[in-house]
Amino acid sequence: MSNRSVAVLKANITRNLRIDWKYKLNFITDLAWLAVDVITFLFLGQVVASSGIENFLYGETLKEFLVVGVIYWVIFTRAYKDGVSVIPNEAALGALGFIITNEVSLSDLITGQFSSSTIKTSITLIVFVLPIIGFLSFTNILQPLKITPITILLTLVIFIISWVFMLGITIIASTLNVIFKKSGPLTFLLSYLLTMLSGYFFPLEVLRDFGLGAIEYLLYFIPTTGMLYSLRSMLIFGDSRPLGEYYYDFGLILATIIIDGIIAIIVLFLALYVMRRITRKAAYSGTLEFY
Amino acid sequence: MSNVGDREVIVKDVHKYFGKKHVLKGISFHLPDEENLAIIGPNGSGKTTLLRTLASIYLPDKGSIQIGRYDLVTQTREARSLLSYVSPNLSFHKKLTLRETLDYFSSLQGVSWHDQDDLMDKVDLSKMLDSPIEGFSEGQKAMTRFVIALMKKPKILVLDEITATLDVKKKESVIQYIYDLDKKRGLTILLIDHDPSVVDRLCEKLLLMTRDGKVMDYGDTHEIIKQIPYAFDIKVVPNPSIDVNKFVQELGFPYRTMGQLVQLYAETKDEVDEITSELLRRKWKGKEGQEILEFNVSALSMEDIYWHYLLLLNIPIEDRTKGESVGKFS
Repeated sequence: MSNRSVAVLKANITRNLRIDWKYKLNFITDLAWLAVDVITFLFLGQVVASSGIENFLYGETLKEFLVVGVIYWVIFTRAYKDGVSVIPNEAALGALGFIITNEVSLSDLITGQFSSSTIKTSITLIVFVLPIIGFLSFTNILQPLKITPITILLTLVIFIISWVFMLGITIIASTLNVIFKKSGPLTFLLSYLLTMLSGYFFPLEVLRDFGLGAIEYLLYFIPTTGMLYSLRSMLIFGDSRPLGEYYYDFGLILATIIIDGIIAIIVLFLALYVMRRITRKAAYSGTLEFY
Repeated sequence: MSNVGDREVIVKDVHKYFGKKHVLKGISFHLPDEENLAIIGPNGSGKTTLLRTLASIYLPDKGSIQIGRYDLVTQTREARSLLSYVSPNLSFHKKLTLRETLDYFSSLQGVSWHDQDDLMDKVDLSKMLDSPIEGFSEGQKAMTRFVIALMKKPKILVLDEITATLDVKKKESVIQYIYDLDKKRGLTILLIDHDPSVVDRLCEKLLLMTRDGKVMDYGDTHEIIKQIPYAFDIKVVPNPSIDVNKFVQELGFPYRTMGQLVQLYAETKDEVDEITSELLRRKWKGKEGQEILEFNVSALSMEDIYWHYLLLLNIPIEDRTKGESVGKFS
């Protein structure tokens, strides 16, 4: 990364955080949205757990399964949404001409926005949400998560890999904005699809019960799926899970981290390349300025 | 190539298409080091597309553009390092202060904005540093754009109607500042502006474009403008029931008609007074005999100069234009 890119990134993060600070109502709205998600899934988990369904995969830990999913995705959905809005927002400000003629990379702008959104959501999670989760665990409403030095370290690695992958996806989705203009619904679909395929709403292991085990294994090659699965397994069951055919251990998690990490990096580099090509092509077609 | 100056612009047979639309058709000109160029032409002639192509927002589909020693297509990054583009469309986050806005735009360019203190003082922006942009007038926003464009000390300045939203005092400050800067630093300026006084003061060269995206003429600005004797135009909307030809002949001043609109031209303020007195008399003749509905007086625009220049060159205007621009001069 060049010094120029670092300066652009820093300038964007600073500006975006300044703007966010001046729109405090948006911050409160985001927090309320997250609270509604957590409460809804807590209820859903409780209802399923107390319904007495036998042999259900996550059994009495469904609440934890869902809450970990919410916390994982809240960071990336907000960053993705803000990231794909960068080009339309800059176009609305009439800044694209300035950006292009000053050799500022659109990928750097998107990365800046993605980073500031991640910072904002992470602060929200750390300051407001995690203490509440801790309180719920203390009062036995939630089963305590398996927090050890190794799970904390792996959690960080998991978030970094997911962040890299989602940044790549955000940049690729933004190229759709350059090509198709009003591509909001398409970019929303892409993000929703990734959320669904990550097993946000249900454990992917149930696919085996429908004879779709091969698809389940393929889905783990999507970094957000593999990483969320690893995160949930680790935080809910600890270093290994004695569940017969669903057995896993840290070895399996590490293998998933390495493979999905490589995939995430490839996706990011591919995204940067595609964005550079599309931006250059847009200078011929005029599509950026015609926004 | 090595003999080419840093501020020289050489354009050879440039074509630009947007889809099937052929917007620029073989534009060529050579702007020597430190000379300034204004592009004029009717609406739809491609002057904005040409300016944006020179600014590297668009790249030419055919032909070449050399900015200083660099080819705009193959050495885009280097060419862009020489130029700054000021667009009237650039706006700012309204909640940020001027200081925060300048911090951001200077970081994007990798420069400091503090070198612009002199200009900021001249245009009264220094005292606004901690004010949010949402309280700024259009003129102050235009000045902010200009300050941002000068931060990186460009050798070539591309200005797209930057004075359009400025009041007379600010326009004068900006033009004088650009003029002094040009003399001091030896800039090359490429611009579009509707005000002949701006063009005449800043630009040695004038590029006139035809309606279909070609170069009609390229020459010395002062020579071209001084051939147009008029300084004012009076736009008149006559009552549709009157004979426009008879009306303009009775007035006895040079004119151009565009559909129902009549444009009268005056050389001096005395002539403007004479015309407006006559127009007022005809406007208030009584409801039955009212010959004109409304009129307004303004300084001659670059478009008017363009049309007069066509006439001087004996170019049949009707052949060059379509629709609303069809007109004739007395």
